[in-house]
Order: sequence, then structure tokens, then C-alpha cells
Amino acid sequence: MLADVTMKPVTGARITLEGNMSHAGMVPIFSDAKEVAPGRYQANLDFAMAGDWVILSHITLATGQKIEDKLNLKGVRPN
Amino acid sequence: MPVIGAFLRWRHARTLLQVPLLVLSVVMVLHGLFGPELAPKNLATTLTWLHFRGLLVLVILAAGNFFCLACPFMLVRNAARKIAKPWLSWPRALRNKWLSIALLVAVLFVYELFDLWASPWWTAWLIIGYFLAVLIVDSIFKHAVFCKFVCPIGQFNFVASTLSPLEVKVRDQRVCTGCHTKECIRGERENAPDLVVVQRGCELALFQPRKAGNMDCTFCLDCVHACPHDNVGIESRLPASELMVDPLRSGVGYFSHRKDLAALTLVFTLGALLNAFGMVSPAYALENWLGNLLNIKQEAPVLGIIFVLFLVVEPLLLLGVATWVTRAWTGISHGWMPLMVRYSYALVPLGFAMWLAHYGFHFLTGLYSFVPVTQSALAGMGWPILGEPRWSWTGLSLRAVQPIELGLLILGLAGSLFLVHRFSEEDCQAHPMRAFVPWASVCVLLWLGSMWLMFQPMEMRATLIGG
Repeated sequence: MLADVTMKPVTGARITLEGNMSHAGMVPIFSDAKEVAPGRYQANLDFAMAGDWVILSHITLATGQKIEDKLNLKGVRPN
Repeated sequence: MPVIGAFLRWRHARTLLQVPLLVLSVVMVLHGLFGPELAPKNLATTLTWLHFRGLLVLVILAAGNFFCLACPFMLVRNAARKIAKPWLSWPRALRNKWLSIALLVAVLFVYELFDLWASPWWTAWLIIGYFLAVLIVDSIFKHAVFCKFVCPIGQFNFVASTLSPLEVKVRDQRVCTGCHTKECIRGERENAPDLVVVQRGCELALFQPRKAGNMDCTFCLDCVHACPHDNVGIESRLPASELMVDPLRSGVGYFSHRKDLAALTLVFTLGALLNAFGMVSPAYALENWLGNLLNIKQEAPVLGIIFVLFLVVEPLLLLGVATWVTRAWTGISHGWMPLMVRYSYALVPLGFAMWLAHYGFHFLTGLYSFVPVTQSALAGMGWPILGEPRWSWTGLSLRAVQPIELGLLILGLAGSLFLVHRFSEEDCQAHPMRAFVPWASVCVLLWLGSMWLMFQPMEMRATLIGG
């Protein structure tokens, strides 16, 4: 969910998710998010390996402004 | 060797190799301290844990200890020695490998405990710490004490390079017999009252006519440059040949008398399995199980237990049983310790194969990763001259690399079995198989362990038990 400081949904943004492991040299994974509802963006990531991942969100707003965000995702396990 | 030979005989060849690595070290430290915190996007972690480690083992396999030749730490140390000369001799009690073994184990331990591979900042501080350690030790103590008795990377290189196809050695022993000035070890001094050294001799106390093999040789080529007869060079040889014989080696002694060297080879071999084990799923399962069993929430004690199991209990068990069976079955009169020491050296090919498989894997699968990291680093400084970082550029696929790993492990087993065969034929000429079987079993067991590790799912975690 992407919202501004007044909690109003931010629409029309382009979001690319980049997943990296904590060890250098592992293949990163990428996915483009789709806006499924105003301000709600959804993407699928196919984790290539178990372990700890760091998900980087590369966000470009409709105004052209760029934002980067980071999420630590620990303990990914296989299905 | 055309071109390369002439270059290496040039007295400034080493400096020319060291300078780029020094510049690279500075870049890695700066990027590690001030660049992105994410390991795959930082030159400190990428170049250290992928490229440096991988190239190190591959160059040693293909050629020799050229990383010690190009060591940037020595460049800084030599510059410092122009300002102040060291004045102390290294304590006699420390003139062995025990301190460096402890440091090697400490580096492996700290690597796992603090997840150095995931931390550009800590990796940078490791590099800085290394520079400081070299400066402190070699500013106080004379000769190449840091290389010979302290440096963990150096000890790793010494053991690994016993399998290298190249060796620094004398070309013609008859020339050495007629030489009375012995510049290869004494160095060359000015013909003046203050006897200023114009060319060092071997600072690791390896007297060329009696030097045998690559143990303790940093390929610094001081002996090559010092020899007035041009009688020392880099020569080819059969890999592992130095492990098959036990002459009195200058600066080293007899391998069979060196319990510390044997211990170093065991840490080298079993440390390879331990270091690889730290990256697979069963390692985390074991740590959690141990933590629950012993009601310990902190990682350090649990990791310590695993280190003791791999580096103390495992070799005592494997080598102890093999020694007992050998003595009982063959009736040979060798004592327990001499037998264990002797056959420890036979494990080096297996250990090196595991390091090659592991570090080679990371190097090959992350081969191109320095490209987008460099692109990003330059763009971050306002110089996007290399374009947008291509983050999908990593390296070879797992499918391409696994057969290489498998081949290396098989070669390693073959090498160790060959050494065991040589030793057992010498030790028990009447019934060599009785000496061969127990030690070959140790090799096969360790090899099976390596193969099992290779096929375990990798799991990179930057945190373990205790959060």
C-alpha cells in the first residue's frame, strides 16, 4: 500500500521490486508491481534460495519523483 | 619463461604488482565504510568474498603463491621500515605455526559469528585491521615475522601452494656449492662501512640450496634478485611432490617433526568443510538443535561447540582410529603422534579441493558482479560514465559450475589417495594395503562429507539463533 502523509492512496506509481541475498554474487530477482486498487500495488517474487533476503523497492511516482525503500525478509524457506 | 620471466627478474616487479592491489584495497575500504550497506552492492564484500578468495585459490592451483608476491600489506610495511627499522627478534617460543593457526581459526570463527560476508563495514575493518597488524608486528620485529608466523592468509597460501605446479628454487646446485657469499639469504650490502642492504635476502630464512618446496615461501623473489649467479628462478614441478618426501628443509625442518605444521594442514582441510557447512541449511538446523539442547540463546557458544567438533573432535576421532588400526594391523613401530603427523599431510589435496570447490563456486557464479557494483559506485559519486548498473549481471549458472566443483573434489580425493598410497608403501613394504586401507577410509569419508555438502541447499542467513 502506497499512501501519502494524510493516508491518501498514491496512484499511478511505477514500482519495481529487487530482491537480494545478504551474500554478494547471488542472482538478484526482479518484479514489476501492478496497481490492483488505488494505492495498492502487487508483485510476485520467486525466491531462488532459502535464507535472508533484502527487498528493495524502486518507486517512481507519477510526478517523476523517485523513492527507494528497503525491507528485510528473514528466514525464507522452500514450500 | 619469455616476457614474464624477464618481468619477474626486474627488481621492481613486485612493487608494480603490489601498487594496484594497494589502490584496490583503499577503494574497497572506502566503499565498505561509506558505500551501500548491502553486500551484493558493495565493492568491499564483492571483491573480498567473491573475487579475492576465488582468484587466490585458482592462481595457487594454476601457478603458485603469486598473491603473497603481490601482497599490498608488504608494500605498506616496507615503506614504514624506511622510516624506522625494527629492533626486536621474534620470541623463540612463537617461532612456530601455533599463533597463526589460532588466528586462522579466529578469522573463520569471526567470519561466521559476525557474518562478515554480509557486512561491507566489517569487511572494510577487517582489511584495515590487517594493515595495522602488519605495520605493528613488522615495525617491531625483524625479518618477515608477520608472513612466517602470524598471517592467517599466508599460512593458508603456504599449505595450498604445496600443490602448486611452480616453485622458487635453485636451477643448478653445483653453482650454489661454489658460492661463498650466499646473498640469497644474507642479502647484498653496499661496499661501505655502514653495510647498507641494497637487496634483501630471504626474510623467511629459506636458504635456497636447502629449500625444498613452497612451505613458508611468499614468492617475494628477494632470493632471485639477490643471487649474483642468476641461479634462482621459478621452476615447474609435480604438484604435491613436496608432500611425498621429508628432507631437512631450510627454515622449516622436517615435516614429520613439525606437529604445528601438521595441525595447520588439519585446520586447512577440516576448516574447508566447516566453512562450507556454515552456508547450508543443516548448519542452521544443527545450531538450533544445539541451542535448544543446551538452553543457549547466544550464537557464539554454539558456534564454538561446532568449531570444536569440526576442528578438534573430528580429526582426533578420524586420525586416532586410523592410527590405531594401522598400528594394530601392520605391526609397525611408529608412535601414535608420528603416524598422525605423517598422514595429516596426505589430506592437503582433499582440503584444497574443498576450498577450490567452495570459493570457486562463489567466484564463478559472481564473476561479473563487480561490473554493476562499479557502475553503481561511480554513479553514486556523480560519475555515471559506465551507464546504468546491470544488476542481473552475476556470473555462471549453478548448472555450469557444479560439474567443475565435482571434478575438483574427485581430483582432490585422487591426490590424497595417491599420497596415502605412497606413505603406506614406504611404511609397510610387506603389507602396504594394511596401512593404506585405514587412511584411505579417512580420505573417502571426508570426501563423502564434501560431496554431501556440495549437494545441500544453500541458505544464506545473516542472523542465526538469538536474533
